[in-house]
Amino acid sequence: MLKKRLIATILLKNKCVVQSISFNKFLPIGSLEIVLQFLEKWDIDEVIILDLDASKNKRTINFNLLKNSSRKIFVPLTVGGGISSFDDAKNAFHNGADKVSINSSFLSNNNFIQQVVNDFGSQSVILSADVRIENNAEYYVYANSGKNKIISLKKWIKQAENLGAGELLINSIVNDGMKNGYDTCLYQKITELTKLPIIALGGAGSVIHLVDLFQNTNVSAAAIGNMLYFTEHSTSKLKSALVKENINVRPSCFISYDEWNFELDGRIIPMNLKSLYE
Amino acid sequence: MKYCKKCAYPENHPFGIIFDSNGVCSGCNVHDEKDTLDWNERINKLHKLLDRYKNTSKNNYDCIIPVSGDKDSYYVVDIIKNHFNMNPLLVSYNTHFNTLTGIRNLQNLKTKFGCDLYQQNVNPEFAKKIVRYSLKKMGSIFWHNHAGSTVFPIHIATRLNIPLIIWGLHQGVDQVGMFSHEDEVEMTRKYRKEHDLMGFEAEDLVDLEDFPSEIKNDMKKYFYPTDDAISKVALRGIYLSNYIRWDSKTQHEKMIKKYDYNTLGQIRTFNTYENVSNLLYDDIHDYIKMIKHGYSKVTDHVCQEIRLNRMSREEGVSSINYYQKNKIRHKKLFLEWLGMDGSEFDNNLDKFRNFSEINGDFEINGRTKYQNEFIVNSNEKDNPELHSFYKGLYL
Repeated sequence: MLKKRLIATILLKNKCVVQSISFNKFLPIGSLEIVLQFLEKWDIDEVIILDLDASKNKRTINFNLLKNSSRKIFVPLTVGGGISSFDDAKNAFHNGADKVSINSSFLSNNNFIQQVVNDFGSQSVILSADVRIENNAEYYVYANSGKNKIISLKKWIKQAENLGAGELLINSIVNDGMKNGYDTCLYQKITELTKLPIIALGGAGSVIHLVDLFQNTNVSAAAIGNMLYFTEHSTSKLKSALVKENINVRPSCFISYDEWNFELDGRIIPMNLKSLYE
Repeated sequence: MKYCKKCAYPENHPFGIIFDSNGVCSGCNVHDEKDTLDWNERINKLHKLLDRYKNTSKNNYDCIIPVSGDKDSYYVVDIIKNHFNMNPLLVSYNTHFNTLTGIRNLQNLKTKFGCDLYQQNVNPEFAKKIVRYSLKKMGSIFWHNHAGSTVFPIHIATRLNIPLIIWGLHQGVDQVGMFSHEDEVEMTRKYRKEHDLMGFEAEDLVDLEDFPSEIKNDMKKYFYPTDDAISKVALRGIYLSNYIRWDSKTQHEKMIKKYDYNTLGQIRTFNTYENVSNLLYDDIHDYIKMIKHGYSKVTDHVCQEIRLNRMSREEGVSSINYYQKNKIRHKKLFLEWLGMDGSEFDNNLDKFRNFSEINGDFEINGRTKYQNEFIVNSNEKDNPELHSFYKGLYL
């Protein structure tokens, strides 16, 4: 069985990495280069960098920043935000990206996506959607940070498959930054609708949320954001905690917390306190 | 330059700062949590956390508290030792350039609270060389202070199997709202590298071509313990400010009354409580901050007071304008110690200069009444011969 992936979502506002809370409150974390350095050391499986203002301001992510920050990084890197032409995608690949994530542009103009798939392969294209449920019945895809309803999720997935996407990144708008768990109903539904690998985004706040997601849905990866920044070795600890719950993740290679138990929020439980110089 | 509408932080704050649609900064927005969170619930949470770290076998310390003698040292020890009945080991890195008040405060701390204190002292000749290098490389005279104070407690923790380090205030949360209090952010090497060390860890510096080879081996004391060493102890570092409603001024005033904490008059800020142990903090260090970032320590102090509703923004701005143009006094003494002449010093700093000494964006209204709100109870004289690094003495 394929291992479940943990993917870090790094959000950018201009050059600053931020925490996002419900698309409207942003807290400054620091520089992209240093965030990448440490996530790689802490054994994250993949990284997605999203520029929050790129589409809105009709520009792409800052490719120079991307190039300088990813120079010494080997972890697979997906880049999103304002990728709306073949050249944008090509530029992203030439400046350190392994995949591109395409969101709002895909709905209006999709010819270039097929071109990217043809030239760089479908593994290099992630299509992403911001999703919300309507009347407790059907899921819809929204544009402009959740402001405009565009299309039903079902139809959107068909389009994405036809375009040759390699993976789908599905963000639950109401769960974003709330740290109250993933919308598992949403992801159960999606994995019934398509065979494409699904990356779940929005709501990760603790180990139990990830256990819940992986035990109850068939998503292939969980994207986590804000909680990455709260503790030392955050992702290595998370992996050790998930292994304990029999979730099939790639264990951390260099940093092991296998001997330790964790609180529900993923913090270490101290035990067998050792004596001085033991 | 854009400034926060509520406090006085500029958009170029070196930590990064985000302004919302009303022009209010992320620091102010997170600070507002101080009035909405249930702090009783939070202190209970801390209580539960600390209980788990009490070493019932009594054959080790329960936790480490990094101290300098000033800032939040007294308050953190008081809370941890006297309120929560923990058995802390105090750990301190000697930054040199101590004021006599600072030396006395640190010794008074261990005496009044009855605690063991480890202090790391580095070879003063080496200190001189690393100060000279960091001045040229980063335009900083305090790199080794930050590097030492943030790594020595970690070394002691991993060596002595002490799994918990307790810090006071998280600066990133306090100044720019890097995290919500509810995130309960813990100490990371990432934060240290980026914000305390300006992006340069000792491990990075020794590999640089221009690094002086004769002090390479001495730099190992600033290397971070391995990831392995940290995960073996499952070391955590927590910040009290995530669990206790932080108010630096009120806390210091309690410490003055209860434990005879000594304060010291400052030249470039009205806050006589926080940074009184290092002679060069309220001096060359602050001057460098000014020419690099266009603001200085008084802005940090003003923002604290504005956010706690003790100072109006107008009062704050005039305080900033008054204090940030005050002349520094110890440049000559420092340069003699360093063995550098004034023009070489200025040339080095000019590489990092982004602002002239006085920031012209604010109107200058003169001195405010606010400075009288802070107690000065030390009678240390401004006399170079009394200072601890005069004539070959490095206390």
